[in-house]
Amino acid sequence: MSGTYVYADNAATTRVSQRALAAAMPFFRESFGNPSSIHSRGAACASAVLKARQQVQLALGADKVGEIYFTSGGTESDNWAIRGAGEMGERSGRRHIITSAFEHHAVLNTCAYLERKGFEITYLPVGKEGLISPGQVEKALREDTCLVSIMAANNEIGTVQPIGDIGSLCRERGVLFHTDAVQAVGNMPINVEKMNIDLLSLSGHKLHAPKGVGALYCRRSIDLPSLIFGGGQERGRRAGTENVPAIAALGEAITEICEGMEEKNARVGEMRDRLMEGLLKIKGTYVNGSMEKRLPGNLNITFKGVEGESLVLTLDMKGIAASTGAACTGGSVNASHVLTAIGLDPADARSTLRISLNGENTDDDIGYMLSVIPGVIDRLRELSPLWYEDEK
Amino acid sequence: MSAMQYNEKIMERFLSPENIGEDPEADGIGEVGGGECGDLTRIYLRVENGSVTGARFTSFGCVGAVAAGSAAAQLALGRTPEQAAEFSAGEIVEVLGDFPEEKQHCPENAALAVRRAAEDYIRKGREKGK
Repeated sequence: MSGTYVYADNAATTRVSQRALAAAMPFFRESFGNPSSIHSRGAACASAVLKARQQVQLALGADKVGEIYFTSGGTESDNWAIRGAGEMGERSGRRHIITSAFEHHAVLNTCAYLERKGFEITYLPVGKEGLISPGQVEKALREDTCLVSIMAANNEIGTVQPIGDIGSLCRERGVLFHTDAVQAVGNMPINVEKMNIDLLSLSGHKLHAPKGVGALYCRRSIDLPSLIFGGGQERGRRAGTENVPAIAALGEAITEICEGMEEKNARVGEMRDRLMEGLLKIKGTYVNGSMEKRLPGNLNITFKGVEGESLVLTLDMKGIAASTGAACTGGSVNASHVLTAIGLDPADARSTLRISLNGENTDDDIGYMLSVIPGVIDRLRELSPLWYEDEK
Repeated sequence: MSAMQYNEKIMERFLSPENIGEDPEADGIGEVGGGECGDLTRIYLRVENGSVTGARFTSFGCVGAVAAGSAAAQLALGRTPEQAAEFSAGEIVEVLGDFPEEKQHCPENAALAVRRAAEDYIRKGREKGK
């Protein structure tokens, strides 16, 4: 199998699709103008940005094209939504935010920043299934709550949160609802109108567009303060010359992934389940998080006694790209906050592999992983004092 | 930490480590780690006629920890227990080359495990002598 390389780390990033690449190319050397320029080269770019905005609007089920703002990626969108909503809340004396303990760091660290500025943040705990319930949100809501921010799908364990129900609850209570949908868009149905979402973050490179581009959906009724100041781009709300090639690619990529989503999800889910069944035959192995409410491509699996970095780098040498839940640096381990939030002990959190498949993976990829991974696990367990202890 | 950040010798040693596995018959056992970090390295030494004739290791740790454990076990062979009790991380680095900055603890831990295994043997000998 020499020369085989299976990319199974699509929750980290995805390959740019041919359609997205083709959409971007004219804006490097042909129509390379500035969308703010009034000459034809500029106007071509402005049209491309508008087209992409319409494509994102359609993919999210947004009511108006003007509700889509392009950003540099998911992190900026999360920062903007949360800081902006915080600033709006502060004006009316509401300084309480509800989020969950296993959000992406773009959300958690933005909340921590606001906490230092005097906000109160409720971090909803999450059980072993990796799910937040609307009831938890309801109990945590207060008179001074200005924002609820709950991710649509978790980046490590892929569990899908009931964002439609949480959105309805927030709407009833007059509280803004933001969702980090970076992992979700293109992998599960999203409709900001039906789900009562006020603010939604997405990232291009998770759905076959390039890195460095993303979008924030902001409901038209919300006067969200700017995060980045400068020129009048993005209707005066997000300054900076638009990344036209990447924006054009994002529009195309989101259209492409949403067009074929149902068929892709069914196929990816079947591949993931086959892989899971095969890997669960390995002794001392378990899957983390709900299997029922989960993105089809995500498999997060603990191999007891097998250290994550050693596992990922051995798999890399054998032509498989995946990721692990913890990194050891300077003698201390930063175990994944997601895995510890759902109750894993540090050693198990460190013995965890995340395999994330998408529409580019094939049945042969699954076959190859099933032919390689068990042997690698056996070999690493021969080295592992923890496994010897478990065996005893 | 990607494979690129480890030098070739460390990666080679990691992929084909020698001296692996537990040794329940060992004369001296040294253990390092097992705390919050989760890294755990054990060294098992056998001593005959005043020198180390067998050395094995187990490690729940990163690539650097496995490579360092393997090199440490091999380097302990042929030493007197007293020499092994003086074993230093620098000797591992001489064989495997420099470790990435955030992995400096790997050779340190492996060397400490060898010293503890040698001390364990020496202490047991003293206790037997009493």
